[in-house]
Amino acid sequence: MTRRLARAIVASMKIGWEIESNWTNVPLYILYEAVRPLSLCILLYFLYKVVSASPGADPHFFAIFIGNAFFMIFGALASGLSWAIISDREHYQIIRYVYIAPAPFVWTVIGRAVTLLAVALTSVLLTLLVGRWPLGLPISLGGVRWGLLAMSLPLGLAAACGIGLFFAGMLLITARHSLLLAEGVGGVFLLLCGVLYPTTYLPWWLRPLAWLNPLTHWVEASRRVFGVTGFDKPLGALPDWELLAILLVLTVVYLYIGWKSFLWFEHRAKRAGKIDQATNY
Amino acid sequence: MDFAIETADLVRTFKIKRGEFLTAVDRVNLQVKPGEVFGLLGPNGAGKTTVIKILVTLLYPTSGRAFVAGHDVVREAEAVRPLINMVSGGETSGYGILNVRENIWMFSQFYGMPGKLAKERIDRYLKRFEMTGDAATKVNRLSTGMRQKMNIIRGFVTDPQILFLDEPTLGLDVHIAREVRQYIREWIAEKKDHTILLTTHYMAEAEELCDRIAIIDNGKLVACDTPAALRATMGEGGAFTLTLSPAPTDTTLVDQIPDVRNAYLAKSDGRTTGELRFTLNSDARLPEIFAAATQAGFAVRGFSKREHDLEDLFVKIVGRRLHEDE
Repeated sequence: MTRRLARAIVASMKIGWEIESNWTNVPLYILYEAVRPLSLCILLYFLYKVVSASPGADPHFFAIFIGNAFFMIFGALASGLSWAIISDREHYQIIRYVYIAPAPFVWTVIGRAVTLLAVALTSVLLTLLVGRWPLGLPISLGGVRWGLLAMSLPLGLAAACGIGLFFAGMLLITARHSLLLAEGVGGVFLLLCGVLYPTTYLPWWLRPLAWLNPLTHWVEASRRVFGVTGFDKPLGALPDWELLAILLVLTVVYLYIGWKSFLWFEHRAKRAGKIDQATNY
Repeated sequence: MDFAIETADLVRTFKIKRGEFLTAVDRVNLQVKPGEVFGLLGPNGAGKTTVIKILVTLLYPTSGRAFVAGHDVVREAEAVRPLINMVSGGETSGYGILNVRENIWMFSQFYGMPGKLAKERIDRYLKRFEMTGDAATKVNRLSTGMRQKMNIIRGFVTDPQILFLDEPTLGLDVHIAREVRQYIREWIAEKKDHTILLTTHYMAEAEELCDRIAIIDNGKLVACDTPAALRATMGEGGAFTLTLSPAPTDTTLVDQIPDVRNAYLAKSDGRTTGELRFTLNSDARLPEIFAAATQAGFAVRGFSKREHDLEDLFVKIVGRRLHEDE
C-alpha cells in the first residue's frame, strides 16, 4: 500500500510539474517564477522607502521582508491544492478517472501541490538572495538558525496544507469561481497573520484570530530564524520552545480540521453527484 | 463471489430544484456473472451512466445496495477501486499537456503498477491499437478518435477484473469503433474470469458484444436476458417496409389491421412513393395488408422484411424508438 501510494504521489507531482512548467522552456520558466517574488520585494522596498530613508538598515523592514517571503509558501500551497481540483475537473475533465483509481484522492491532490511548493521554496530563496545583495539586508548563512528553521518550516508547511485542504475540499461541492474565494481568503490570512505589521495593530477583537492561527506563529518563527526579534511584542516575548509548542499544537489542529473537512466535502460531493460535475455556464 | 456486479433495489434521485426531484435510477436489480460481457441498453438519459457512476464509486446511491466483486461500493470503496477501471466515450478527457505514453503511464501509477510492468503493457497496447507512432504526441494534438483510443488503453492497461465501458464507441468513426469492439472481444476471450459492463445505445454493438443485455428506460430495468432470448420474445414476425405509390400521408392503412404495431412513415419523395414501416408478430396478416393497400388506391412498389432485432424489442417494451430523441 505504501509503495502504491508513493507511486501515485510521484505521478501527481509529475503532472503538477508538467502543468506548471511545460508551456515554455526551462530558462524562461525560471525567469517567470523569479519575476513575481522579486517584483513584490522591490515593491515592498519602495513602499517602505516612503516612510524610512534607508529600509535596508531598518529592522522593521527586515521583519516585513522575511514575513512576506515565507508567506508566499502558504499562498502557493493553498492555491495549488485548489488548483489541482479545478484543473482536473474543469480543464482536463479527468477527475473521475483520478478519483476512482486506488490511490487515495486526497494524496493525489497533495502530490499535485508539492510542485508548487517546490517552486515557492525556490522563490523564497531568490527573494532572500535579493534581500541580501541589492537591498543590503543582514542575511547570512552563518546567521541562520538552522535548527529552528528545520523545526518550524515543516510545521508551517503542514499548517498551510491543512488550510489549503479545507478550501480545496470546498471546491469539490462548488463551482470553479470558488477558486477566487480561496484566493480571497489567502488575502485575509495575510491581513491576520502579522506579515506586514505586528498583530498588535489589529483591533483587539481580531487579535485572538491572529494568535489562534498557526501561520502567525510560523511567520514569527521564520523571522527568528534570521535573527529578527521584537517586531511583534506579544509573540516576541515567547521563548522559542513555547512558540514552537504553540505552532505544533495549532498545526495539528488545523491539519486535522483541514483533512477531515476535505473528506467531509468529498463525501458531500459524492452524495450530490458533484465529484466530476464541471461548471457549465 | 457469485456475482461480479450485483445491485439490489438501487435507487438514485437528483434534486433539480427546491422540492423537485428526478429519479435517475429506479429500483434496479442487476446480477452480472464473472466472465460476462453485460450490456446496459437504453436511450440518452435512461440512467445507464448513473448506474455506472454508482458502481465505480463516483456517486452514492440514494437507497438500495450495490456490490462489485463482492464489495459494497459505499462501505468498501477502497476495496473496489483496485479491481475496476472505466472508460467513457464522447468526451475529450486527458492531460493535454502530456503525451499519449505519459498519460497512460500516469494512470498506471495511480493504480500502483510497477514501472517495468507498466512500460511493457503500455508498449503492447500502443502496438495493438496502432498508436506506437503517436506515443510521443501531446494529447491536445490528437483527434477525438485517437484520444478515445488512448482512453481505451488507459482502461485496459491496469488489467481490471471488472471494466466499465460507458458508451465507449460514442462519436468514433466506423473504423475505430470496429477496432475497439474487436479488441473488447479479444480481451474477454483471453481473460475468462474478467467482466465487462457496457452501456450503449447502439443496438448492433450490444448484440455483437454482450452475453446478456438489460434494457433500461427512465431509470427502470424493463428487460434482461441474452440477445437471442430477448429477440425470441418478439415472436416469428419481423419488421416490414412497404413502398407505396402514391406516398401515404399517414399510417391509417395498417392501423386497422390487428397485430400491426409501431407503424410509422419512414421515407417519402413527397409525391410518387413513400415507405410505410411496421412490425408484425407473424406473416399471416400480410395478405390482409396488401389487400387493404390496393383497396385504398395504393400501388405496392416494393416490400421487404427484416427479422426482429433489439431495436424492435425496445420499441415493443418502451413504446418508442431508441434514437427518437437524438
